[in-house]
This record gives sequence, C-alpha cells and structure tokens, in this order.
Amino acid sequence: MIRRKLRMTTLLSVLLIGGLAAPNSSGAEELLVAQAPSRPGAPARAGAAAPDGNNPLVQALQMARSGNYVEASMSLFQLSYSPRFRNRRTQIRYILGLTLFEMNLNQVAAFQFISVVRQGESQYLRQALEKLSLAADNLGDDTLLNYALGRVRVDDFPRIHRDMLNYRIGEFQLRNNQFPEAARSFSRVQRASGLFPKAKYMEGLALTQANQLPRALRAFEDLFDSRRAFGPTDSARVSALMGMARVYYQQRNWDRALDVYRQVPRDTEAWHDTLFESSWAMLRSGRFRSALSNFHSLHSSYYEDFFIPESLLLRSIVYLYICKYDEMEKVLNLFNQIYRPVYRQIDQALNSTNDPVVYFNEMVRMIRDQKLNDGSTEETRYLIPFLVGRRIMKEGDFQTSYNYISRLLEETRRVVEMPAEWRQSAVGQYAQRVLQTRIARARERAGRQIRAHLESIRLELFDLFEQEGFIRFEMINGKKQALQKRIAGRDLPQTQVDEGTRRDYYIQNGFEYWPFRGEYWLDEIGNYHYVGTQSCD
Amino acid sequence: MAAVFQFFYSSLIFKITFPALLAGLLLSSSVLQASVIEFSVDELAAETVLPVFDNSVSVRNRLVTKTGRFEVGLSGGLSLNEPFYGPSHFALHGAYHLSEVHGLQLSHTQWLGGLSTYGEQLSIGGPGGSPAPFDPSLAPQVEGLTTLNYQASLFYGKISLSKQLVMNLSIYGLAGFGAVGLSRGAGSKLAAHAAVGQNIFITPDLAFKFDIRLFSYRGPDPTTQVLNPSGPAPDPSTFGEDLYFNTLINFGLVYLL
Repeated sequence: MIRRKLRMTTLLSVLLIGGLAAPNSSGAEELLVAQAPSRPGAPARAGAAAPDGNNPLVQALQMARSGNYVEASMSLFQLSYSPRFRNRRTQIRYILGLTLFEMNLNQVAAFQFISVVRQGESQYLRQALEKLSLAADNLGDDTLLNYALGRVRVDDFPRIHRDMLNYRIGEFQLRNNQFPEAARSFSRVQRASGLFPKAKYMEGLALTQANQLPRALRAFEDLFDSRRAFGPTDSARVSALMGMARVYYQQRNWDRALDVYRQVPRDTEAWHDTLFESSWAMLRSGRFRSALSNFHSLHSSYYEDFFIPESLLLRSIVYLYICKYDEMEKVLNLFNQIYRPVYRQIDQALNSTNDPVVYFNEMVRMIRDQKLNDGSTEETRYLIPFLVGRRIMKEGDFQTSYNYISRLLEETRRVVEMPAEWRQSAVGQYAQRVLQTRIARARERAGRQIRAHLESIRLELFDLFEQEGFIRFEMINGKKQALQKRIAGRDLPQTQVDEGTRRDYYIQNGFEYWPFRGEYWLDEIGNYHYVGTQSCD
Repeated sequence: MAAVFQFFYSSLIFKITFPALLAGLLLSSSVLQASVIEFSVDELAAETVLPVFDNSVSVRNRLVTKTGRFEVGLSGGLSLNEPFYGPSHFALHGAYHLSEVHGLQLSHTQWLGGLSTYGEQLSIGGPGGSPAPFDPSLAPQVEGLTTLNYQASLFYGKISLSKQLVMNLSIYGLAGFGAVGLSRGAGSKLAAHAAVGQNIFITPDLAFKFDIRLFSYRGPDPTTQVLNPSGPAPDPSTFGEDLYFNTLINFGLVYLL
C-alpha cells in the first residue's frame, strides 16, 4: 500500500512537472493554463495540452493517475508516435515507461526509459535513469544495468534505492577488475539494507582479490557477526565462513583455515566445497591421512555428478607422498576413465555446432530433467556431459542470464494474461515483439556463455591430462625406487595395518567403528577416516 | 592385494550396534596387543545433520541389491496362539523383486499336525486329564496356508555385531490373500495374510530371516461339537464357524538368486 502510494506520488509529481495535471486539480490547473496558447484566438499549438478533458494526453494521464494503467499505456503509446505531441514525446515516453513499470512489465518499460535517456539532457533524464536502474535490477540484466549505471550519479539517486545502486556499481566494478573501488562501493551499502549480507561478502571478495587480506578477513568476520541470530545454516553466515577460511588459506595459516572449514555445517551446499578445499589445506600442512579421509567421501558415488578432476590428481599426489603406488595408479586410472570421455564429449559438442541456442536448449533440458527427476539424470544422454553441465549451471554469468530469461518469460506470461484489447493494441504488439527479441538474444548470449565455459573446461582438462602424465611418471619412478630398496633390503616391513584381514588395531573408546565395505551411506559422507599407514619413510 | 581402504565413521542413524557384543570381542588377546590409532577429536563427526545433495538417497552402491532378482526361502516356526493343535510348521516362499522396494511373494506354510500340549491334556479323560474329554483332532484343522503377497522392503540398513562383523539388514512388510487347507475333507477357506519381517544378510545373497505373520480365516470351530475321543468324528459340515486370527513366528534362511 505504501509502495503504491509512493508510486502514485511519483507519477503525480511527473504530471505536475510536465504541466499536465488533471484540470480539476487547482494547483495543477495553473500550470496548465501557463502552458496554454498565450495569444487569445490563436490556434492551439501541436503538443500543447488543452485545458479541457477532450485532450487525449490529459485523458491518458487521468487514466494513469486513477490506476487504469492498461488503458493509459495503450493511449500513451499511440500518443508517443503522434506528430501532434512531438514536443512532449520525451515526457510521454517517460510516463508510458512508468505506466508499464507499474504493470510489472520491466523490460518493456526499460525500453521507454532508454529512449528518454537517449534523447539526452531533459528534465526527465535523471528520473528515467533511476527508473531504468530499478527495472534493470528487477530483471537482473547486466547489459541494461551497465547502461544505466554508466550514466547515473549516486547522489542524484533517491536515498531509498541508493543501496541497490551502490551494490550494482560494486558488481560492475568487480567484473571490470576494479577491486579496491568495488570494495568501496560495496562498503557503502547500509547495514539495515537487505543487500547488506551480499554486499559485505562481495566486499570481502573484492578485498581478497585486491590482496588486502587482513581487511578482507575483517569484512567476512563482520558479516559472520551480523548473521549470528540467523542460525548455523544461514547462507550469508556460511558464505562468511567460507570467505574467512579461504583468506586464512591464502595467508598460509592452514590450521586456522581448517578450523574454519570445519565450522561449515554439512547440511549446506557450501559444505561440499569445504571437502575439497580443506583437503588442500591438509595436504599443505602434511596431514595426509586426513586428506585421504576427505577424498574417500569426495570420490564416493554421491559425487559422481560433480566435476572435480583436480581432486583425483590431488589424491594421487597424497598417495605419492606416502608411497602407496598401487592406490595411486588406481586413482590415476579412475581419473582417465572418468575425464577422458568427458573431454571427448566436450570436444564433440564444441565441434558439432556453433549455434549458441543449441547449447542453451541442452542446458535447459538438463535443468528441467534434474528438477523433474528429483536430481537424478542417470539415464539421459546430453550433448554436454551432465557433470560439466552441472558445473556450468552454477557459474555466475550463466545463472544471471538464466534468471534474466526466466524473468522475461514471466513477463511474457503477464503480457499473454492481459486483456485481448491490450494484447492486440499497438503497445501490446510492441511489448510482445520486444520480449520475443530480448528472449532470443538472451538465449544466444547464454548459449555463448555456455560455449565459453565449455572451451575453458576443455582447456582445463587438457592441462590436467598433462599433469596426470607427470604424476604417472613420478609414480613409476617411485615404484622403481621402492623396488631398488626392496632388493637392497631397506624397505619397510611388509605387514601394514591395512593389509591384514585380522583387525590388529582398535579405535579409541567411545567411538564406533564400521569398516568400509563398498557401499556409501549418506550419514557416512564426511565421516570416513583413513586408517592405513604410509609405505615409506 | 589387501583391501584398498579401511575406514570407519561414527554414525547415529540407519545403523544399529550392540555394545555388549562389541565389548566381549574387544577383550580378545589379539586386540589387547593391538596398536592404537587415535584421531584428533576435531576431525571426528560433531554433527547429526546430513549433507545436501540434488538427489539425496540414503545409500549408494548397495551391497544387497534386489531389483529384478528372485528370492527363495525356507523357514520354520511356531503358532503363537493356537490352543488345540500342534504349533510347529515349516514354510517355503519364492519372491520376485520388481524394485528395491516392491515385490511379489508366493508362500506356502505346512503344519506338522498333531495336538498342542493343551490339546493333548483335553483329549485325555480321567485322572490328570480333562473331566470331560474333548478330542480336537476329531475336528477339521488347518494343514496348510498358501498365499500370494505383495512385499514392500521398506528399510535397508546395516547392523554391527562387532567391530569386524557388519551385516546388512532389510525390514519388509507383506500383505496378501490365499487359502487355508483343512483336514478331514473340510476343503479350503479363503484367508487374509499380513506379516512383518527382517532379513539379516550374511553375504550379499544369503540372509537369516525372521518374521511375524498374521493370518485370518473363517473356519470350523471344534468347540461347537462334542468331540468324545472314543466317539466317531463328526461330519465337517456340522461344525459351527468362527473367525480366526492366528499369529505365527518364523525363522529361516533366504537366498537371492
């Protein structure tokens, strides 16, 4: 209700500024009179509003003021092309934009605001930019946002939307690698704003990328403290923990990083990342057994849809450190068994077509199947390997494009649900055309993003195959040395705790022991512990 | 080559443990000489929540899979509430598992006949016996039960009987219809059947089976006739009828083909 009042006040103020208030409004009528033809008896100038209600512009504005946006938009759209109102075209387009914005047709409204902005300096420029920013924010469209943000001045922006603007500017700067500037913009988002958690996280991220680690840590800690009341699985709190752990890792403070990684609750999405990331910290701090424990979870069949080739190579490196060459070979073979076909399929997908829409449609099919089948896509073949598609789904740029397309489709549905008279009117036809074009272009853009990710993943895999070759060489070398030691009688005793069928060790009192027998249980994931020993000094 | 990994974890759900059995096994001499592997408490499970996956199934790579497999079983047991007749019986069953949960089962139970201890006492007149002899063997009794059942394997888990011996278990329910065969030419009667049971798998194919079954039928009531041990057996059609609910308990073996 308050929002509607505010909007109506805005609309009314526009009408007043433009001198087109309804005749029965006494204050506004003076403005109208002031703009009426000055010479008595002279013919009315084109574009000038007549003081009576027969003026179509006044009627349209009256309709808009009374909340009849459907009729108002039809009328305003026609008037925006009328030579009679050529002088008021900017104003009409701005009001038409407002009307469409009220109808929740953000994309169509944005086009009206853009046309006002393109007209250059006018009394509506500032307001049009403000509204364009809001429409772009609702749509989540980067292109529109960049267009608006490149022209808007923060101080001219209403205080109520300034946090959004600072946040979006920060995002824009972060994308352009302006890390300190981005951090500054994010830090301007007020604590009371709904965008504060996201902005604080992004501030920490920008500072990390600017290599200002102590400041980044403070930002993440601030976010963590601000979310204490929201429960352990609050996504902002978890993001803060992840941020802190990554900063500690970057500072080479492995123990502290591990300590923070362990605080991430396992019933959150981010916990899966901690399994792999903490394994790196374990490896760097020489905790091979702990790293292998993590890998056992990470390479269970629960993670068969996850694209984590690096983790297999990392596991093989840990085995190299503890001279478990047989296990190492198994892991390297597994890496080839999984990722060589993935590489070939990506290669085929990239060579099969250049049409970005094909990639986008394939991705949509994957997302839809995943939703319909409760996350399972085992029996379906796609152009893109599912585990790669799953990774691309989570990429920020693709998510932005995908969400934008979803919003455009929602807007199209709203257009379809409009009265037939509106749909068949000029503005209705225009709206449908605009949306169709935007959807087609957004799909192409998303498809290009998918293709770019596929190319990047192909390259990444190529590099990893090279690394796998080096690691395999080290393995053969290690095997050779072990054999030489054995011949010389300098090797470790053959009996290893994990080699006997007899259980010749026991677990601390108070803990249960369940030997791993090949099946993976959901409640075991993350709780495996490697109890083998190393095979060399 | 020895096992690739040996892992342990502390678990709170899905599994059952027997600390007493475990404690006994811990006292074996080999264990007393064992090396101690200690884990940092930081690395041990501190949460009871489960990880979140797109497709959160409880178990993957099951050791015991049932889908598309036949099952045969042999068991023996006792009737729990049979007053007159011998409670001992054996049962055979065959099943086909349409999925890990759903299946169809055909089962036959055969009673070994005779009278129960109470039945024997009732049939003996005079000192130490019944003042008015009553011989239930002269009345038609249930000889066999054949049923076709729907089987739902509702729970799959594992059980630790020691730190070395972990077995999978499956709890199932049965419901179906069939017929009871009666002695003395009394023909057969329609019967309803329901059961709950548990298989404890020693190997991925072989399991101990334990179940409690309930079957119900409308059949001849021996107490509606005077059944004098020295007299002739009355015609089965002369008995009044009653609705019976009988409970059976069974132990046996199951093999998955």
